[in-house]
Amino acid sequence: MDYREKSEIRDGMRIDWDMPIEMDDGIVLRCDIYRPVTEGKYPVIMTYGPYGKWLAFQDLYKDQWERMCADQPDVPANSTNKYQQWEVVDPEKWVPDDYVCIRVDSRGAGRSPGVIDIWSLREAQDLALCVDWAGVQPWSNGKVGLNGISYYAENQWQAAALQPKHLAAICTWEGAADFYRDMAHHGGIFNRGFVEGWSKAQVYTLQNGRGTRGFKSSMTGDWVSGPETLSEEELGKNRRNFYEDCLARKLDTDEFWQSRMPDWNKVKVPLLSSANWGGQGLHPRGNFEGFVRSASENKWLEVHGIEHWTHFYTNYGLDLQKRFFGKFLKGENAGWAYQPKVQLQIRHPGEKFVERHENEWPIARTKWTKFYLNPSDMTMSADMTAKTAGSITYGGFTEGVTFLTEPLEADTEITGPIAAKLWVSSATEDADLFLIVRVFTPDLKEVVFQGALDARTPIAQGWLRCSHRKLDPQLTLPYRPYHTHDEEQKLKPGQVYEVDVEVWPTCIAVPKGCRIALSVRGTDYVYPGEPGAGVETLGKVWTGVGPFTHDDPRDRPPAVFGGDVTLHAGPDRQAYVLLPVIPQK
Amino acid sequence: MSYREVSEVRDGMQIDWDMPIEMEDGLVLRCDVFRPVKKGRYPVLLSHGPYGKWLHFEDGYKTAWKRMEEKQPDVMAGSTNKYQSWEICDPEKWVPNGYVCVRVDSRGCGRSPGYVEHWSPRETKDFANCIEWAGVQPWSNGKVGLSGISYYAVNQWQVASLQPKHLAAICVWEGFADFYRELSHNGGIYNTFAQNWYDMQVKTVQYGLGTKGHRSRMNGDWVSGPETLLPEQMGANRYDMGKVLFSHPLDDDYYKAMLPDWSKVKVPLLSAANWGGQPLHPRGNFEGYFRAASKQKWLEVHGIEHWTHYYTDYGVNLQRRFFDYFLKGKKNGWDKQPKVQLNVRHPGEQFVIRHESAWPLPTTQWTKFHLGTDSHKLTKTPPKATASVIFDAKGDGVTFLTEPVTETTEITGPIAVKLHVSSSTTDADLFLVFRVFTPDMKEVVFQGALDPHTAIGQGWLRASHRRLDKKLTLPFRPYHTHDEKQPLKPGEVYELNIEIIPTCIVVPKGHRVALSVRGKDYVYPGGSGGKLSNMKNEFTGNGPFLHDDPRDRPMEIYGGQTTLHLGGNRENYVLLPIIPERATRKATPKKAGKKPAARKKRR
Repeated sequence: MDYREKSEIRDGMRIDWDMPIEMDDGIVLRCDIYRPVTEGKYPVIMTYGPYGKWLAFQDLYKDQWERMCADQPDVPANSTNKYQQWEVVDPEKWVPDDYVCIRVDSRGAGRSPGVIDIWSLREAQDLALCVDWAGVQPWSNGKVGLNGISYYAENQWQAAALQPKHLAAICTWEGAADFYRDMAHHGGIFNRGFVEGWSKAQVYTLQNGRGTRGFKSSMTGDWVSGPETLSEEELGKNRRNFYEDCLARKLDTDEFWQSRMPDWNKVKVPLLSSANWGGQGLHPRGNFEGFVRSASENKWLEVHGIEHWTHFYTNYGLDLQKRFFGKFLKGENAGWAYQPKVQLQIRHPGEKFVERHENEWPIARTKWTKFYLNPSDMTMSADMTAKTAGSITYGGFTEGVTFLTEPLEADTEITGPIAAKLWVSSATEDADLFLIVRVFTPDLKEVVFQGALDARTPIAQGWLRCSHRKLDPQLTLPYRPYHTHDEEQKLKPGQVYEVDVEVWPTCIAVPKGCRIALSVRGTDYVYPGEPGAGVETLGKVWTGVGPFTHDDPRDRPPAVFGGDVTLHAGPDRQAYVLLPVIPQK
Repeated sequence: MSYREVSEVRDGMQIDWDMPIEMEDGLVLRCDVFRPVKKGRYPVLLSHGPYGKWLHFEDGYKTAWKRMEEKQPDVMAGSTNKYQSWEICDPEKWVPNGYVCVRVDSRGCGRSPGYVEHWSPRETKDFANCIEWAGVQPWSNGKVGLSGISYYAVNQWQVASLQPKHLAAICVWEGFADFYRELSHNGGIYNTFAQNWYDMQVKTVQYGLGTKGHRSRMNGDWVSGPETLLPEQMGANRYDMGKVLFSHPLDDDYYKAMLPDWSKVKVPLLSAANWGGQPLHPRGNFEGYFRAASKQKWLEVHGIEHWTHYYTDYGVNLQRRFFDYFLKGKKNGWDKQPKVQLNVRHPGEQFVIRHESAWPLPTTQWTKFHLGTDSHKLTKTPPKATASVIFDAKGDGVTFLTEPVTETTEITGPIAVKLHVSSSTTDADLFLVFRVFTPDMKEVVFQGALDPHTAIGQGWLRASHRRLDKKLTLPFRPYHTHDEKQPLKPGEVYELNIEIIPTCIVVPKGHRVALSVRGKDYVYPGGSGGKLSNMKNEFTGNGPFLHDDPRDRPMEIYGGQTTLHLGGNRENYVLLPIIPERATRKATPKKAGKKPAARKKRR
C-alpha cells in the first residue's frame, strides 16, 4: 500500500489525507487536514504526536470513550464521532466554526517514518516546522494555535520556546513541562510504572512500520501505522528505548533532560494552561509551573477535576477553548474579554466542584499555615505552642507513618502549592520519601477523588529522594522547594538531615469535623480499601496512584532504600507541612 | 410422586432415604439416615432444620461453595462431596468412623409437611422427639449428638434445655441463643435480616414447592416434595416471620418461649463462635458457654466465613475428638482439652491458636479508655473539662481515636461502653463500632462470618431500652431487660450502658484504636464487599444485618440530633479487656507452627 494523499469531502468537511510536510533533515511527516469546504483563509488548530492520527478513540481507548459518552452526553452530541481521536480535538466541533484542524503523526509514529525519540528536541523542532508550514498554506490565515491533551500539550511548551513565527496561541490541556521532575524522576525517584507501561502500551503499539500488523483505521480503512510493514528488527532500530533512556539519566543535568526542558523565558505566546487537581504524578505541576514561570504576557490558568481526558471534550472545555482561540486566532474579543486570569473548580468531598475566579496563582490572600508534625503522638497541629519533639522510625519499604490533625473546628479551604520540611536520618546512605496529604471524614473514611487516572486519588502527593535534597536557591520559594537534582549527596547513616519536599498543588474544601493528615511513606500510596479498576492500556488494577508507581528495583535497591528511616522533631528541628489556607473572600 | 423410603448402599454407606418419624401430634417428619454398611450399634449425629436435606450445598449456596472449594482443599478431600448440604456435616467424613448421620427436615420444610414457624416450642419439641427416636433405632447405641452450624446450632440450645434422655453431647457451631437480642432487635433496634433470610433461604425450600422447587442432585427427586402445592396453600403453611418479629418490639413472651433455659442446659457442650459473626451468632455462643449449667463445656473461637471452619480439617478434628469422647466413650484425652481454645486474631487474617482456662480470660486487665472532651480523643486518663458533641441522629456520628499504641496490645473479651446522651427527640439509636486503624489509617477489618469487611467490634442500643437487668448485668457486660420502652425527655441527659459483642484483636504497635458512635449502620470506608448468591443486599460492612427499616426508625423520633455529654462528673468510656502478654507465650503469627486457621487475605 501507499500514502493516501487525497482530498475528499466527508461529513461537511474537506479532508486532505496523509499530506506531506518535509522537515529540514529531509524526513517527510504526514498529516491530515480537516478544513471548511468553502475556500478561504482560516486559522489553524494543530496537534503533533505519536498516538496515530488514523486510530479512532474508540479503537484503543474503549473504556475511556464509553465512560465519557455515558457520563457526558454533550461529548458525543453534534458529531458523527467518526473522527474522534485520543486527546486531540474533534474536527466536527471546530471546522464548522471556520477552523482548520491538522493532525500530524510525529516522527516514527503512525504514518510518519523516522526514529521515535519521545519528547526530544528533534520532535519539538518538527512541531515548530509544522506550525510554520501551516501558517503559509493557501487555506491558512497565518495564525496557528496548538490545542491538545497530555502529549499534545507537553510539546506545546517545547515548541512555544522555539518561537515559530506563525504560532499565535497555545492551550496546554494537562501538559507536563519538566520531563525529569514531572514525569520520570519524581523528587529523584524513578516513575517506572508510567515510563515503561505507557511507552510500551500507547506509543510503540502505533509505531510507523507496524503496517499490516497494526491497527486498521475505521476512518480510512487503511493501516494506521503504514503504509510500510517493517520487520521487528527494523522497528526496534527505529525507536529509542524510552524506559532505559529515562532510567539511565539519574540527574536532571543530563543533556537528555536539558534538551527537553522548555526555556520559560522564551515562552511568550498567549497561553491557556489547563490543569487537573487529580493529575499528580504527571501533568499538573507543568501546568502550574508553566503558568507561573512563562514569559507570556497573555496567560490564563484553569483547573478542573475528574478524568484526564474528559473536560477537554465537554461543552465546558470546548467553550473555554473556543473563546480563547477566538480571541487569539480570529481577533474576536467579546468571548475572552472577561476571562479571569485564574479559573478554579474548587473541590469539595464527594466529587463536587464549585467554580471560582481568582486573579493570580498562588492566591494572594493565602494564609500560609504551618502544621507542625509531632512524632511523639503522631499528631499535626497549627498550634504554635504545641511542642513537637521525639522521633519515629519506619521501614524504608513500608507504609511509613501518618500525622493526623484533630477534627477541624471550621470549614477550611486548602488551595495551592504545599511544602513540607522534615528532619530525616537513614540507616543507609539514602531514603526515598513519599508524602501524601490526606483528608478523612469524621468517620475516618479517606476523602479521595476521581483523579486524572485513578478513581481513588488522594488530595496531594510529593516525593523526595534524600540524596537529591539540594535546593536551587534562586528558584526555591517558601511554599515551593525547587531541587537542583544535579548531584547525589549520599547520607551518612544515622546523621540527621534537613529536607524540603515539594507537594504538588492541590485544592480541597475540608468540611468541619474532617481531619487532615500527612503520610510519610517508603512506598507508593495505597488507597485504604479494595483495589479499583484501571484501564486497558495502563494496568487493569489500580490501588491509588494509577500507573504512577515507583517500584523499579534497579532504581530502588533494597540495600539502599529498604533500611530504617527516622523522622526527627524538636525545638531546633521544627518539622511541618505548610498548607495554603484560603480565607473566604 | 411419593416418598422415597428406600434403603440403598452408595459410596460406602447405607443410606435410608426419607424415613418417617412420627410426632406426637400425628405429623410425620422425614429424615435421611447415613450409616455404616456393617450392621451394628453406632452413635448418632443428628441435625434438624429447614434448609432441605436433599438440597446440595452448591445448588443452594453457590458463592459459598465455590469459595470454600477454591480456598480450602481439605474440605473437598476425602469425600465424593455428593451429599454435602448447607451447614451440616458431610456423612462421608463421619460414617467411615462409625457414626450414623441423621438429617431431619423440620416441620414444613423440604420433605416434611406442616406449618413453618421457626424455633417455635413446637419445632423444639419435634427436635426432642427426633433425638429420642434416633436413640432407640436398631442401628443406634443410644447416644445422640447434635452438630451443625447456625440454624442447626441455634436449636441445639433449645432442645438441650428440654433434656431429651438420649441427648449425649452438643456441638453448637456459630449458634445464637437469644431471639430478641441477637436475631430480631439488636439493642432494641429492629434488624431486617430475618425477613430477608426467610425469603431467600427458607421460602425457596418450603415443603410443597415440589416440581417448582429444586431437584436434588443426590437422588434426582424433588427437594421440597413430593407434593406440589398451590401458592396460597404454601402461604397458609408458613408464618409471616418479618411481620411477627416486627410486631414484638420488646423481649416479651413470644421470645421468652423460645429462649433456652440455661439452668437446664446440662449436656456436655462445645460452643464454637466466630469473632466476626456480629450481631447474630457469637453472642449466643459466648452467653451459652458462660451461662449453661453444663459441667462439661468448652468454648472455641475462630475466624473467617461462617461456614468454613466447620468443614475444614481443623473443625472436623475438633468435633471428632469431642464426639468420640462423649458418644463413643473413647479415651482420647478430650477431658484434658483446655476449656477455651482461641484463634487469636492479628491484622491481615492471621490467627494464632492459644488455650485459656476460662472466659472472659482470667488475666484480663479491664481498662477504661475515656472519650475526650477535646478533639475526639480516646485516652486512658479521664478528661478534666466538660464538653458536648452533637451529631445527626441518623448520620455517621463521631469517632474517638487513640494515639498510635506504643506497644503491641491484645484486646480479647467482651467490651462495655458507658455514654451520657441526650436527644432532641424522645429516643435515639446508637450504633457503636470498635475499630482499629493501621499507622497508614487503613481500617483493620476481617473476613467476617459474612461480610468480607467486618469491623473489630460492634454494639447497639436504643436509648429508650436503657434499663439494665440488675442480676444479669456485669461490669463488662451490660444486660438490658428490653421489657419496657422508657422514652427520653428531649434535652435531658441519660446514662447509657452499651454491650459490645466479645471480640479479639492483637493491635500492633503504631496502630490506633477508635470508637465510633454512629446513628446508623457501620459502613466500611474502603468500598463494597460484593454479594453472596443467597443474600439480597450488597455488603457494605454489616453483611445482611441492617437496621434500616423506616417503620422502626421514623424520622420524627430517630432523625433528630443526639448529644454526647462528656467530662466532669459524667464518665464516658469504653472498657477494654486488655490481655497482658505472658512471657512463656510470646507467639508471633509468623513463627506459629501450629496455625491451621491462618490464611492470607487475597490481594
